[in-house]
Amino acid sequence: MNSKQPDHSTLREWLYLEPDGELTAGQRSRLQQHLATCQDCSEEHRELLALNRLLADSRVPVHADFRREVMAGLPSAGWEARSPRSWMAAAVAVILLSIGAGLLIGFSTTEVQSAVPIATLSAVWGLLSSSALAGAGLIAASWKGLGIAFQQVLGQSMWNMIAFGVLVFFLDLLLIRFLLRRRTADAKADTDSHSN
Amino acid sequence: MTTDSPQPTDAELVAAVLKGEQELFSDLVQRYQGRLVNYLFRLLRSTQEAEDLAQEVFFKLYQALDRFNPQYKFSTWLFRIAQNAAIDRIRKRRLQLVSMDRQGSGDEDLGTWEFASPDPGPYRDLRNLERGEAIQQAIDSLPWDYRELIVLRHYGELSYDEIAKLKDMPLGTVKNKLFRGRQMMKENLHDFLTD
Repeated sequence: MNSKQPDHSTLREWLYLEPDGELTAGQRSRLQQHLATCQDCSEEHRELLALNRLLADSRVPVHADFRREVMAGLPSAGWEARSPRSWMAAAVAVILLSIGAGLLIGFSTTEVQSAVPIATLSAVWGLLSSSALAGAGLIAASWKGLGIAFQQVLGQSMWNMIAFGVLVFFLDLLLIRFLLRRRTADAKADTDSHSN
Repeated sequence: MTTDSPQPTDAELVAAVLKGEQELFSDLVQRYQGRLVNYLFRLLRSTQEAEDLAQEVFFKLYQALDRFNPQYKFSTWLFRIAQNAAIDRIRKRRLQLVSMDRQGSGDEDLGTWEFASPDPGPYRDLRNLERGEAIQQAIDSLPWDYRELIVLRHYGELSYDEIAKLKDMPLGTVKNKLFRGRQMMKENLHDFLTD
């Protein structure tokens, strides 16, 4: 198309592509040469430019507060909770609270100022280890209680145990099916949104 | 993001928003609000409805932002969501999608905006109104697939390549349909092109 002289219908198509910057430099140059000699195409080109201007002038303005309203009305999104800034803010809050608590405990002792950082660290460590221990104890106690309850109900006969096993098996199947469906739905949504 | 650095790309803005700089979503809104509202306005024929729907589109986009794939263009993703939302809205309004007859639909707001007309005069407003109505009629008289492409090009300001990807059409088909669509527009608006 570039080497030989384009025919008139091709040049007419180029006429419409030119204002959108869709022609190569060579094509544009050939079109300009043609416009200088063909009155019909030159008139059509003028009309096309006028049409483009008319349509551009007919664009409606967006009201001044549009952006602010969008930002004010943004719904919460699932990904926000996973953004680093969310975690960072929570982590910083925990650290500051811990340091504050530690400092309070440190200052409340009668020891010298130089012992404050050690007292702070010790207090934070004590706080964390106590929380972890309490949490672990609670979980262990819960599971143990559950285990005792199951043992009392199911341990009375072999059939009860088998029935329980079957129930757990089907629950697992349901869970697997649910997870697979969700993954398929997510993949489909991605494809739909990016199939462009 | 400093002010003296070059403008961040759409993909960079999305990445920054996802990292926690949610306020940068405002930059994306700023970039696309005019194009989006105008695109929707030309399909829905009501400025109020176009702005309402544009807000909904930005909300949907924000909620799905973590599914944006930087391999693709943000603009085509945005306009795909907008296109689906507009079609849903049109269906709900039970409008004919092809050869719309505008008679008897008195609830339509043609948006009595002003043109930046270079010839002020006593009939300026009337002339602008006439032009606005003529343009809308010319757009409405196009077959749906031509109309969509004309609106995407002239009001959504998408490139040929973006339109081809958005509509899942070969580039040649996009060029051809725009060529024919503009010829029809030119015929319908002939009286306004000789000024």
